Amino acid sequence: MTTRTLQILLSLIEGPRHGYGVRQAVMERTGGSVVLGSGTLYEAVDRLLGKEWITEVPAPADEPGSGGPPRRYYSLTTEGRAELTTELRRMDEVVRFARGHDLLEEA
Amino acid sequence: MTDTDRALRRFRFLLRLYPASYRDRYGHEMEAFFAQEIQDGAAGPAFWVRLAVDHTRAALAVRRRRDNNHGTLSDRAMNLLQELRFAARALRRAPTFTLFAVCTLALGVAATTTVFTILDRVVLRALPYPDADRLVVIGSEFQQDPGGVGPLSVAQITDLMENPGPAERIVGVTSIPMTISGLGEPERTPVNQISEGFFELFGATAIAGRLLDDRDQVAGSEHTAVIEHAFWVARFGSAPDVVGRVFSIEDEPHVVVGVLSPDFVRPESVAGDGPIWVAARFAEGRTSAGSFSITAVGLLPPGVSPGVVDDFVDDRFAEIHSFLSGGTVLPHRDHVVDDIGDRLMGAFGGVLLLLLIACANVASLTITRGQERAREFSVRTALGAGRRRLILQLATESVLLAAMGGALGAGLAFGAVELFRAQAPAGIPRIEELSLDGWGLAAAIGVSLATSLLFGLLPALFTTSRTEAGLGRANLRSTGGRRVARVRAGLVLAETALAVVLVVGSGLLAKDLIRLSTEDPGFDPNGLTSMHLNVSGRVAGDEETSTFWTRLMEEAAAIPGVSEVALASQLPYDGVSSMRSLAPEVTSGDREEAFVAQVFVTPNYFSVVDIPVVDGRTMTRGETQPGSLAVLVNEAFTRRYWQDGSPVGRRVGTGEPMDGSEETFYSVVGVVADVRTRAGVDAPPQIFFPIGSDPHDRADLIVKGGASATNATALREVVSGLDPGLPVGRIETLESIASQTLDRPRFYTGLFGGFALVALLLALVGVYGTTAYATRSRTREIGIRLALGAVRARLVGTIVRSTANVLAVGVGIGLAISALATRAMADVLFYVTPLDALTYLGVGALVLTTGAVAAWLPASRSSHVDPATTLREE
Repeated sequence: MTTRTLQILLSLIEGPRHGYGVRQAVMERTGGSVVLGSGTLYEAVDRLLGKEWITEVPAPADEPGSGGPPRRYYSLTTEGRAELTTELRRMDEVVRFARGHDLLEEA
Repeated sequence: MTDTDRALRRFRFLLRLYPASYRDRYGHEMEAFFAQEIQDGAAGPAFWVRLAVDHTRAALAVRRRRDNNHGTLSDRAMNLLQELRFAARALRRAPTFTLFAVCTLALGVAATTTVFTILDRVVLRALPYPDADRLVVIGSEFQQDPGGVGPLSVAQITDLMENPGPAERIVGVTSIPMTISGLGEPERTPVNQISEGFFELFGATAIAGRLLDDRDQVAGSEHTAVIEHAFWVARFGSAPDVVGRVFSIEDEPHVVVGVLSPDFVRPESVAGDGPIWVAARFAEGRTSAGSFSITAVGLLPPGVSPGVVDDFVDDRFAEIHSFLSGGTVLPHRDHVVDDIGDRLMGAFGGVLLLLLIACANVASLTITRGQERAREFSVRTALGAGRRRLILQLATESVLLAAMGGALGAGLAFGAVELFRAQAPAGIPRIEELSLDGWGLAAAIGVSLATSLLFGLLPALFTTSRTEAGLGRANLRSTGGRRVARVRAGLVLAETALAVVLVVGSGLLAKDLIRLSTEDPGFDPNGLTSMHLNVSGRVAGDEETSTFWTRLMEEAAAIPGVSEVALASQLPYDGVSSMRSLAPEVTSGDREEAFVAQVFVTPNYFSVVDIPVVDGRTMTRGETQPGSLAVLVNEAFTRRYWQDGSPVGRRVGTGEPMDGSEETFYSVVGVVADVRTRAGVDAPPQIFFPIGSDPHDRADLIVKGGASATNATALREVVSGLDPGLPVGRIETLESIASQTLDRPRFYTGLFGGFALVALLLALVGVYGTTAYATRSRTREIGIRLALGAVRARLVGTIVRSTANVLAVGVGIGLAISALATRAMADVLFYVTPLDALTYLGVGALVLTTGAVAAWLPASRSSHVDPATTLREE
């Protein structure tokens, strides 16, 4: 799973977001080191939709009307959540190992 | 427009990288995203670059994914195949259009490709020598031939070799037919005699032994020869020990010192046609001092122009020979190409006109068809076919037409090139290698595609876009229809004008050819057969030579049917083979040095060939002995040097000899009428010596009478009876020799005539098509008028008249253009001026008449339609 995909999925853990919201979340969480441009973001979204790891959901009721068509919101599917969990567990094992061998300081 | 709007516009342009379906889905989102980024302060070139890179990468990934979903290449191929099938079906449903379009394309492509291939090979390709563009040919400039590149004398070449002036190096070569023996059957073949440095200049290499060098030029040293590869294979059987073998040239033993590599190309227009190369040893005097037979080639230092050497040789040559105007220096390539280049360029110009006409025709045909398919396209659009789909369909049809036209055209071009190679007149350089190659095919495909797409697709788009909205025939009468009609009229006008230019050009050439063919040659070539013999090496000394010729004439006179026999060193209409510098005596002033053509003849030559003696008499028998001083001159000679009084009795001197001995004076006993040496060119001054006075090795035997078919065999028998080992040269009737001078004009007239004919046909097809369509769309109107009692003939007349008006304007413009364009033909025409009124009028009338007929045919046909039927069709 690429960094990009991981970050996008992570951003959706707390609830559905639209494209720009995902980008903002990722930027905040990673402190600006991962920046998703609109091209790569939507290409990834398209791919994840195809794999059915995420799905489109209607915009929440309190979305400020901007005059244009409602923004598309994306949400994790059950499968997506499962994939994400698997990946995180894998990463956790690696970290445990590293800590066990003094490669990484305690958090 | 705010900055945001402008930025958004640019962004939307960027989004076009994505497939349409993706854009439909995410386009808004991406735009909103982008708008937000801008609002958050993103700006500057760095931002845009990052954006472009980001979207390019993403777009590629998206497209790749889409393809994977749709089965990649095989699916794409399937779609394409389907498009092709549809296109093929559409074309099949319009067979006339397809036939005409393909044929037109093929003709245009074939003509262009053929001429381009010839031009490329003969004129444009570089010669295969190192520094080929620094090579120049240096020639003598004779007064009678200003700007010409004449041969040099030994004095000139030795002077140049010693002191080449601004040139880096100058070499000389002369080619002389000689008898080769010691290798089986003796044969006569031209032997190339070269000076030092010749082989180096042309980058020759030896695959065995060595090339000729300075030691071979040393007087008195052993005679050596270098042979060409093919000669080594044929005559020595590729023997590995060829170096050191000896054979004889003119009974003089020569040692083979080397074999040239197989990729050695004999320098065009400079060396002779023989495979044997020997040292010229100009200093030794093997070449007679008074003759001019040497070709000089020079190597220019980098950056030096030929003009500098030209000035240099102008001075040198005039000093060495006072009767020379100077020298001429030409780049080697120009000398090879000579006037062929100009003619081929002319042919290329003609062919481009032809191509333009073909293009106009294709456009016209497509527009016609476009209008007929208006309904079909309207229905398609109404049913939801996108504009892009229609364009794709039309493009596929155009490409299919281009493919067919191109294939047919390439085939025709191939045939044409082969035909050209077989039929081309002598003297076109590098023609043996001429064939349609990869470049030619590429040109064919390129021309075909370009024509089809530019003149087929664009007009089709033009017409369909005008008929998208609305069905029914009504829109043909709308302004769109009228504008299209104007375009078509414009095309007909253009085609007519261009066709007129070509027909005028070919008409001028044809008229000139007729004049050339009917010009008065100055003699009567009928019933005369000639045989060329060269006895050098077979007889020794003047007396034996004279005896041989006398016996030959006696034996030839005995052939049944032969009434008279004569000898001459030169035949009429056969060029000039020998010239001499003499000084005619004058009554007052200084004697001029004259450079005249000299011919050696038997006294009865003039009566045999039927050249009138206009003053004095021919030579007597007694005046044919060695040492005789009787001569005849022709009228051109007297016009040039002796305008005052009768030339009979005047004397011509050989010029004061340098060694102080007495000058020899020849006495003119008669004047003969002019006889041409070349078609279309006035006879040069000529002087006739009795052949016995200076027995020659080479001469033409002329027999009058007998049957030309049996004469050849009989003559050969006579020769073998006298000397079985003597090779017989050219045996040909004088008529045939004379007609050969017309070969070139005949060829080019035929070529141009061919172009003109095709151009005219294409233009007429265009006129026919236009009128046919115009009347077809007016069928209803015609039907009504006929039903109401209109006179058929008058109706047809009105239709034809409107086309005729366009034709008349086209013809007028065409004639005007011709008047300007044909000025370039001035030096190709001998008798006809480029503004020959009769030709112009004739062509104008021809094109108008044929055009009117081409318009009348469809108009008449549609007027014979039953009015009741047409009205019912509504």
